[in-house]
Amino acid sequence: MTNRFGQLAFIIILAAIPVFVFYDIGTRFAAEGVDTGSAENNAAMYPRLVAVLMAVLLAIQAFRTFTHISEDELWPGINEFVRVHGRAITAFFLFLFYIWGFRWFGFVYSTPIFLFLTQLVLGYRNPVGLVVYSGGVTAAVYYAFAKILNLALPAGDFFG
Amino acid sequence: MLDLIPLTLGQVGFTALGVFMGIIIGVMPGLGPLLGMVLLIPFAMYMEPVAGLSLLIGVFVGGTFGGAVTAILLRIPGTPIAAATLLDGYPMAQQGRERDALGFAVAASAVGGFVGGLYLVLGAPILASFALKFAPPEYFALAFAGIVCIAIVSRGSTIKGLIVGCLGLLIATIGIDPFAFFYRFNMETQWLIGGIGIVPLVLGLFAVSEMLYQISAGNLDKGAGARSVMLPPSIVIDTVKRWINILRSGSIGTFIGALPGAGSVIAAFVSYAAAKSSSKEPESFGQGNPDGVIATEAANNACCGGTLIPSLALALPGDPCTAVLLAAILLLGFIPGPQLFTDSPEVITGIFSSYMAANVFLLIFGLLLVPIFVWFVNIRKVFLIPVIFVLCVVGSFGVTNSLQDLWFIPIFAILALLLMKFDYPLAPLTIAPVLGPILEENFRRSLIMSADDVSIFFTRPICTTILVISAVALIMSLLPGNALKRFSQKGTN
Repeated sequence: MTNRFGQLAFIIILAAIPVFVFYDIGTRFAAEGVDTGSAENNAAMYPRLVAVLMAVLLAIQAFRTFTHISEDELWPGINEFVRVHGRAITAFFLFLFYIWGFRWFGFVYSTPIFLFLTQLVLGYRNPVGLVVYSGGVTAAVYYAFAKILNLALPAGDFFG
Repeated sequence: MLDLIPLTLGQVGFTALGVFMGIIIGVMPGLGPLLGMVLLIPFAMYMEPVAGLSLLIGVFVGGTFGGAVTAILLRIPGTPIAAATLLDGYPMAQQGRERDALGFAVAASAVGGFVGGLYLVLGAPILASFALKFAPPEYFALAFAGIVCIAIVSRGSTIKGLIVGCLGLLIATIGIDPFAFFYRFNMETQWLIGGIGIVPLVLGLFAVSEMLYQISAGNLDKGAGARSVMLPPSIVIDTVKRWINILRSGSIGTFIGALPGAGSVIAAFVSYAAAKSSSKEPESFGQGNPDGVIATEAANNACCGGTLIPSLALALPGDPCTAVLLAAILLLGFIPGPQLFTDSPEVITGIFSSYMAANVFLLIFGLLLVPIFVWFVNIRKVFLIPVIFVLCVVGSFGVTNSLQDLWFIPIFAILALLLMKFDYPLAPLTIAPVLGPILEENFRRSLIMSADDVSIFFTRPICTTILVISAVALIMSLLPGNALKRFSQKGTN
């Protein structure tokens, strides 16, 4: 993929947002009768204006991308991308699993596992250090939020 | 005029804690006051309002200075704010004068911050009393000017800044319509009916994306290797002797800080340029001239006070940090803006007092505790990054009390990485959701006032003036050779 193609692909992704705004206004807003009328009852007035502005700006940016990027740069392939960013990608997926586990297994179980695995991914290999760090940080965060702030951290839907 | 009221012991303690934590967060490369403020919002929510805001103000002030430590010792600005400080700070350290460089930076930051505080205490109430006379068209014009200014001076092209600003404004429309009480753009799910909170948004945009970037950058298992030093207290006197530089830089920093979107980076570079042009030895700048360090540090900390002026008086955040502060004020149950000066003056005076106290603590901690801060500089990222991930999740849950809202964090982290990859600025996306509701409500109120006649925006002198200035600034920024843009690009690069 080239830089110009990437820029245009991103503009198309961003263009989906005003398109969604117009679609929602044309369907749901219209069905509820809040897409026209005075400023008081017209829920579509302001978002429509912003979406039009965004669409115009994206069109200008697409034109600029064609005319301003003279030396098109070739991006690395997917294999090279994964090689360079593999750790970050893995850490990101662990983060997604952590958010998922936070709900289902609760803070107390999901946090030390997440910390342990993330440190492993980041290259820390000391087994004692991994356990002490994961347990210690979990305990410290739990104390700060649950004991000092009285925040009810999730116990986990899985455990009822 | 509002008076500074003495803080309670608890409020003083939280201000001190905020400054201490802010410096620690600021010295760690890649982290900054914004991340510190967002991570501490959940704690602030559970405190007495002024104490909670004092904590956040402390982090703002401490974090703004913190980046200077690594800029001087390692030539790595801990935050972009400190980018100008390394121009002379690092050469001083190379010459074996790192104690002097750090000492000048600490003292100039504190005194400069104090100068900004004086402008804040004197200027914000006057601006607020003036703004009390504003009607919806003027508020609309101000919010519009805020978005335009931020888009103009943000990193990357103005067009890209405006695109991101529009994206932020559309994000702010998700949820219930303020007039028709209709759920907009929620994709008919319960998840989006409350809209998108600023805390998960900012955590995703700035914290998680930055951690992923740091992981990709490598060097996770190595400390920074900074050497510890002790600072001589006499450096304060040496700094104050250069009072003309401090006063000039503090005033420049405050003025630029008060312009929405301009921010500390531009303030630091403009002050540096002013100090150099008025010096008898301009050729020594860049080779270890203490005046270079003093100018940049005084300006960027004074900028905090300047940024707070429009934020408090007009509810117009000048940068992402003040956007978070305004979000915190809202979460604490107050409506930011000129009305806050009359309805809850104790909150405003509490903010003023804690801002002044924060600069005193900055001086004390900066002089006495530098070895501790240097120890934090050397913490390996492999220990730091997982904790920040956990704090993002728990912190967001603490503020929103919603497990579903946690999914906004990775969504905005990916969006931030894409925006950065394609050279779009992030700042408008943080500020637009704060300004969005102000913009929409006042836009529609204005039209209600005028029976849907748009000429209301062009027949009122103040509103028209603000809109015309915004339009001129926008047109000028699209022309080649925009000075503000050049300065901001220099800082972020």
